[in-house]
Amino acid sequence: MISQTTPQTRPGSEAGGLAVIIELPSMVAGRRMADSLVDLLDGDLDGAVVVLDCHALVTGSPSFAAQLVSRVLGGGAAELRAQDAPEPFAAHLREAARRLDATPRLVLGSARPAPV
Amino acid sequence: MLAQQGVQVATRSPLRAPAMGHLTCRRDGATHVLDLSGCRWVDPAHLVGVAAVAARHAGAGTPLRVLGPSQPDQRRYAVRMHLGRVLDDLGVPHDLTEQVRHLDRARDLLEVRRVVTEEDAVVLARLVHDRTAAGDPVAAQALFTGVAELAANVADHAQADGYVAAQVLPVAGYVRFAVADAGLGLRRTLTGRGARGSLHALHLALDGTSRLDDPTRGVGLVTVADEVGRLRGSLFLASGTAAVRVSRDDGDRGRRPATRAGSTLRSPFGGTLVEAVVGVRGTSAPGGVP
Repeated sequence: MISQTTPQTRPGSEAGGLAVIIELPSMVAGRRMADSLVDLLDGDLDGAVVVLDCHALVTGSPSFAAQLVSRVLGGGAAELRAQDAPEPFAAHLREAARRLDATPRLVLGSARPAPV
Repeated sequence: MLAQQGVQVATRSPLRAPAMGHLTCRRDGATHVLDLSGCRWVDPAHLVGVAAVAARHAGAGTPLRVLGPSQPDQRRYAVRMHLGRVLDDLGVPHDLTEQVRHLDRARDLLEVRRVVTEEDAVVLARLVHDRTAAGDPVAAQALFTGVAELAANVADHAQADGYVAAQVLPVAGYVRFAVADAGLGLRRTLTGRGARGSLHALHLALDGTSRLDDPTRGVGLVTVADEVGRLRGSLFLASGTAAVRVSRDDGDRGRRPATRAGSTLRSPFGGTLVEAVVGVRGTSAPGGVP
């Protein structure tokens, strides 16, 4: 059951540097799941841009969001970019970043092209 | 169980807090007895509460016997929710031995389940989510968060096994779920954070205070209480000698902050018990209550 929700990570590219992409499954909860996801990332997060791909996410718990933000931004990443996060989960991310005094380093946006 | 819903739903508000007095043990010689025979309405809180108390006794090696509800509908409900099986697993004697027909209630019931790890919590949260997502995806997301957070708290803080149960109340349009453990309790958990007593500890927890020195901790219960209030529900939290019920006035639609009503338990609950009720659309069973 849990293996179905194991987050996927993959390297990505970012203008001016390397971005790490974390792809979330449909449901995420708990601090351990966040830990296991971040533990899958290779190398040092110091100064990295971490992209959180939430396009498949249906729902995520506040503890998961808190731990993810804590590990990524508290771990020295320059920025956490959450793409296509459902609003309740985006609110959990914002709250976690606020508690860490890291709000400017959390960027919420969409990877989808804007409608013409 | 179904008759329990059908008969009593008109006279009992789904938002009413569970009667904690039924979780009190009395002595019968060397044996403790947890007696639900007088329980006129069995909530998921009672089921997980009994399981948690039984787990505590089993762990401590103190003899306990559980007497089920005497009223037939309530008794069938307790059996159908697998309370007897849980007690069997714990080696605790009980009288919930009769067989009941197991109609397919997969959409309406999450029988009493043990939760030990955070992974258990996620699995149970997915089950509750999936039972409500078709009718009300917004409420289903809140239920996922609620079950995942509250059950994960057991794994994180209680240092004891916990139990989860949930039930859809189709006629009333609510889902009720409960989580209990017989662990340290909130007062002991938050002593280092200045908890001056059971009631104060409950308020500290609802304010987002965590035992851990990490600014991102303590978000779970606060979020659950907020979500429950937003979905015209209520949250009941009991630990030690105190309980707090968090709710918004009906029809308030979340415009005003939730109110908390504290109370003293006549008999302490040694651990933590949470029951939440959430309003859910689209839960009506085809043809009404079978």
